[in-house]
Amino acid sequence: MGVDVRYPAGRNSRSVRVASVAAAAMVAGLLSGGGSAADEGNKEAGTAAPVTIEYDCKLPSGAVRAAVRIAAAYPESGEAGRPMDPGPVTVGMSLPRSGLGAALPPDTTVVQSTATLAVQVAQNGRTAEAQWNGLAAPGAPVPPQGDLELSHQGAVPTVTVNAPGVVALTAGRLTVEVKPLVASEDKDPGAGLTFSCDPAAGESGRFATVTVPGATESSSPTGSPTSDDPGGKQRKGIALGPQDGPVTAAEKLCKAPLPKGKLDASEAPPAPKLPDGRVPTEYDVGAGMQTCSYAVGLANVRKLNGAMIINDPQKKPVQIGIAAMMHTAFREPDENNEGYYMRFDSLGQLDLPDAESTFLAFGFEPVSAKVRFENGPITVSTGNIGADADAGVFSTAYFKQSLRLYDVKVNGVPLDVGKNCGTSRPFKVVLNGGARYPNVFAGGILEGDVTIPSFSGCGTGGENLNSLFTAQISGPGNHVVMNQGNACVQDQPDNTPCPPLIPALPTSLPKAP
Amino acid sequence: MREFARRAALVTGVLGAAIGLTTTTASATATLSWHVAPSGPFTAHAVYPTLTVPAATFPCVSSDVTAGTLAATSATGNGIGNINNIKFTTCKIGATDFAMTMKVTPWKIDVAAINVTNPQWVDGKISSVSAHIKGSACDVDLTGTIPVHYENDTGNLVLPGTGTTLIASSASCYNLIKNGDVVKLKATYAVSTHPSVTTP
Repeated sequence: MGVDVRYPAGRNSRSVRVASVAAAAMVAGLLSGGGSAADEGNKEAGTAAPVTIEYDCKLPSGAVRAAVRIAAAYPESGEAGRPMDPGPVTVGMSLPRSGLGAALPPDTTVVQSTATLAVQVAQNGRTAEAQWNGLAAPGAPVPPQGDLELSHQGAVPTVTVNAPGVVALTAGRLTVEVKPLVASEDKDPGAGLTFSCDPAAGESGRFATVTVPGATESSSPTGSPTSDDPGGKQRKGIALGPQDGPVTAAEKLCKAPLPKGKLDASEAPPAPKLPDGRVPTEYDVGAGMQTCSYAVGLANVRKLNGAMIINDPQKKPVQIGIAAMMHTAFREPDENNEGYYMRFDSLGQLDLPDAESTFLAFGFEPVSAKVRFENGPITVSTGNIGADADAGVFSTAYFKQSLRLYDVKVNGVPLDVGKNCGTSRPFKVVLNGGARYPNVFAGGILEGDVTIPSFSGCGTGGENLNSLFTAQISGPGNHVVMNQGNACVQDQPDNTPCPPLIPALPTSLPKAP
Repeated sequence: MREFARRAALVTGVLGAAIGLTTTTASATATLSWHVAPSGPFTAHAVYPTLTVPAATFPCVSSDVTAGTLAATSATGNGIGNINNIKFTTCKIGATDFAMTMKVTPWKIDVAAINVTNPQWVDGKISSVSAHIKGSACDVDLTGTIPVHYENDTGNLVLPGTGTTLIASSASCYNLIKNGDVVKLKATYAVSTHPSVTTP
């Protein structure tokens, strides 16, 4: 083969080496951690490199130092007149558990919290003040000691400037409201605690700059009150998007397909047999709650030592529609607390956009192909085997898939594979997540190994290309990792993230124990 | 006179059954009187209680009556005990936690009759039950009564989980619990004072 696909990207005069090194770069980029994605300034929540600012918070126990991490994917450069939208931002903070004092009853295990951050936007001597309202951390576990980690996410107002110059964003006062979600039964769950934090002495609070190129104007004093603009509110040159959240009711509607087909929970872990012979009760709940979310991921093709991005977050990803909680199966524990089984089944539909794959045929011929996914309905089963806390949590997604290849090029030259080149039969995809995927509403990580069957129907005019693709692609051990984000529940557009946020691509995580 | 007594007994029996009393066969017209020793404050602990609705069953790790009282005597057995505070620890719907708390306190302990098959057991119910289930995206009210029996030999207050009189309302819980669902609470509470509950 002669090419180590783990070399970093580089350029070479010979065309074959260029293509293969480009493929290696793609593979290396895909399999590296989130840091490289952040360098490219993409717009996924949480993949922008966070900036840490030390804050002083006024808690009942006194002043407490907290580390605040702001991740907002502003591009490095912008354009005059075009709104700058970082997409969903994350404002994370680590708060000492002890600092919250009596505001959190001692048995509190989960809190929800909402944050508002004042952000100053400045350019060429002008400033505007934005309020990042309603950033929500829906459920954070409370450790018995140590730090409480709150990760607030949400959409923020856009910024538009109509002059060249550097736009600087600076974080100011952070107001946080923390509420216990599961409180001690001895106390009223209570109103929780609202407190404010300001950047610590010596901190500038600067977290992003965007350069708007062009000849800079001469500075002129603006923003101060004038007789026909007594509040000084008409910020010449800096306009902020709507402050109450830019999402309209129409934007909150799910854009996902309605799942069709039958549930098939045969790949979920079954209930272990009991000496008393009891089997789980099967119960049809109903048509299910309509939800939509984003599932993005990576599919490794083992033989090619390469990967494809599934539902690329940067290229108009599509939503997955899941009809949640259509069916349950459950068995009560016996008098020894054994035999507990609980399973929730949901039906999903994911009509994936086509993906692009580049690989080296026979180790040296660069081949590129477009891949069309034909996905059957997906059964997502989550639940517990055994009633002990955290024991036996399972999550399984099962569907059948076929692949079609088209627009194939070998060394840049189109190769006509015909219109029916693809896998010879649908194959099973079974992905598991354990506790990393608690339920279809929270989403999480699911992964598994897929066996790709032989290819058929490839080639035209009597030429049979099936063995080219079968030799290069088909076989076992193709690892797939998917990350599903929080779901928007269509009937609860204000209590759930509607529209749903696009999660980050999963990195190559070690498998769950 | 005997006919009158017989009819009176029949009427008393029917009325008695309607208001939660049963008469022993020996005495056709007597109301029971109950005795508890020791009486006064008690606590109680249960491991692995479960809550079952038509669509699912939810386990908890434990439950505790942290403040209860028992009267020394009761003419009818109704309200012979109070559950002033009861809590449920680490209850789960799938992988997520939920809390179950009292909305109204106290709940009442009513005793009715010696169990027909086991003379050590006293049949009764917990009444005035009003509780709330709260989890992330789950809110349900539970109202009604729970059938129980108390075992004089073991000191256990047993909720067999077979009742149909605890009902869900104001339910919004992943479609898993619906208004009108029967909710069955199954648990065995070891009563700290191990009283004897006897009649007459």
